[in-house]
Amino acid sequence: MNKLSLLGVAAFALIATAPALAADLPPEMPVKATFQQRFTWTGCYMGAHAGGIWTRTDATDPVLLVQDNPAFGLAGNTVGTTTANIRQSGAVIGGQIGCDYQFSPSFVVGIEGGASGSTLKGSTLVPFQPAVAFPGETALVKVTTDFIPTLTARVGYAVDHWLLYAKGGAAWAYNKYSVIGAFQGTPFDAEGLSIKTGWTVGAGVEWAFAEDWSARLEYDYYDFGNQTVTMSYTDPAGVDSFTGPMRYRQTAQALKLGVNFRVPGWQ
Amino acid sequence: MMAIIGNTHTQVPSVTPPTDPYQPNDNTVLSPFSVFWGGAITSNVGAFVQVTYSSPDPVSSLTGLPVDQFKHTWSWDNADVRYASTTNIAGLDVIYGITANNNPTVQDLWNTTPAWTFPQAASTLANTPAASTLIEGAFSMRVAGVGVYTMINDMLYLELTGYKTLGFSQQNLLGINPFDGPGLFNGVAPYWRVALEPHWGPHTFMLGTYGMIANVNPWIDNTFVLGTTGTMPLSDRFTDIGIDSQYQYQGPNYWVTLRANYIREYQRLDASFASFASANPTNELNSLKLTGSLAFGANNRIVLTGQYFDVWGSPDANLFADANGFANLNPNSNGWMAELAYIPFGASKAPGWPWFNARIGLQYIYYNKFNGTTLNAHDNNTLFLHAWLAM
Repeated sequence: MNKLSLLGVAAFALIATAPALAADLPPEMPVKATFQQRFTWTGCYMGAHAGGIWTRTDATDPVLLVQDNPAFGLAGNTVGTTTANIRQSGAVIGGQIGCDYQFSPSFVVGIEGGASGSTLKGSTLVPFQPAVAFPGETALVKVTTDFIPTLTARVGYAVDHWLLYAKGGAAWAYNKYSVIGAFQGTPFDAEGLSIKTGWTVGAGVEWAFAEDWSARLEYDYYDFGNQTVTMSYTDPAGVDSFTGPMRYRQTAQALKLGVNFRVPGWQ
Repeated sequence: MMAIIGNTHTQVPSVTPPTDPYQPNDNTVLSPFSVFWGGAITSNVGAFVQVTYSSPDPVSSLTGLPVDQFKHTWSWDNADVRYASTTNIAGLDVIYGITANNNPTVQDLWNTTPAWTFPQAASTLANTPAASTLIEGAFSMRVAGVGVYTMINDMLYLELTGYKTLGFSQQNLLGINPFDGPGLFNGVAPYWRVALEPHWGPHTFMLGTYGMIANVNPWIDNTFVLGTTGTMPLSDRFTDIGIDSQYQYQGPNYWVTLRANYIREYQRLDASFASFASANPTNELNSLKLTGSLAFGANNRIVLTGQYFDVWGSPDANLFADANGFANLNPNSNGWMAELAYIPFGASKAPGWPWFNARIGLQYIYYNKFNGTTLNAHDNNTLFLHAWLAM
């Protein structure tokens, strides 16, 4: 028998077995909806955000810093403690990189690094003490926060193209502090810088409006705790100078609207 | 081997008397000249090692100051030895490995970070802005670092490396003048890198962050007049955070590349403030570079590159005093840079190709502000015509 004949036999055998297979099948296969790949939040993303931010900073003690400083010849003269409450408000704009993993089957966990530039500024006037001894003399206490990086984890629950999530992690605030004014006719401008390390928690909702794109609305609360900052002043002539500690406590709240590009190719 | 031969012309002569072995201006110098070794050592281990000759500094090597004894013309340069392997985790391709290198960011994959940023060829004689962040080369070749890295799914790069400074005699032995650096690290300085790079069709985009935290004990006396190589017991802490991005488009016969790099440095100057080297206990320094380039012609023979650069930070009456070469007590400098480069041999059958390659470049740097002032900033404008030869 040549090879062609053998092929012919094999083909016949296949055809012959076909009815037997068909007979084993149910009369109608269950028909699913047209196959469509299910959306998943698994993958990495990069994006941008913008919004508003509000902070409260307690600064202790600007009066002591200036009034009790030996540079002004009144060391030990201050009575009591003065805490200045400074409200800041401004805008934030920044970016984020993160990765999510969806499992079981609607839970999502992820990690995200973000950085925001901000226009946060605030100031308040505090009088020297006692006011009757120094009438009209005040110090302007200013706080500027212009950079807030974060590193957070998030957990969420996915409802198809929607994700409800909560997040938490570490945050840092880049602050500049100033105490400006004149005391008994001598001007001063003490300044200090700090990176305050704190924590943040937040919650939000994210909507995948396209296969690779999502938008989100998020609320964040930050607590940067207490920190002692060395304030220093050197006049332009380099004659009068002083340093001294001030203690700052800062909290913040932000509302951000963001958009993410979800990098394809992770599923 | 690689050599850069360049002619430097500055708007006002930059080499101050006594100028030997140079002229006040319009000098043609071979600097640097480097010998490289790179390649696989085993199937998983490879290395890139560079040794460099640099022309002597004007004046300083001839003045007879004690510090000169630590200056060298031959030194080790960038070096990176790494282990790499691949695996598959949950369906994702993963490249992972270990890097051991001597310059933070030399191990990086992108040209946005300091070690490989534009301009890759620069005059060694022209004045350049004196203030820069620590991660922009202050400790290059003065450290040894070991770290782990991974590239996941050809998109997400993660790295964590720890650096320690080499000792005074080790740096000197390798041809580095230790006193040209800020001091020695107190402990290990962590370096991190995260970058996400999606690519689709001819487009590639990257957004990333990197940074380093270093505690630095400054030299007690970097002039060596006191005869000590010791460092101060207090340290300054530098926290650098970089954010970088790159977009590349590959056209049929051209490449367009846009790069952005921003570094923010927070300085807690416990040691410098105590020794009156700085007037402030804390300072801040920022560096921004925005670069665009167009490469076109056969095998990208012609490359046009432009860059805006800006360095700004806290005023400091001591750190940025006139005596240190600054004005208005601040470190600010900014300006523009443009370069036209031509690669004559490309992929042609020119004599010696591919064993002999050359890149001819004409570079111009324009300063709006230089070391704190716009006054006479243009004096430092630099025209650098150079030939970059590789064999």
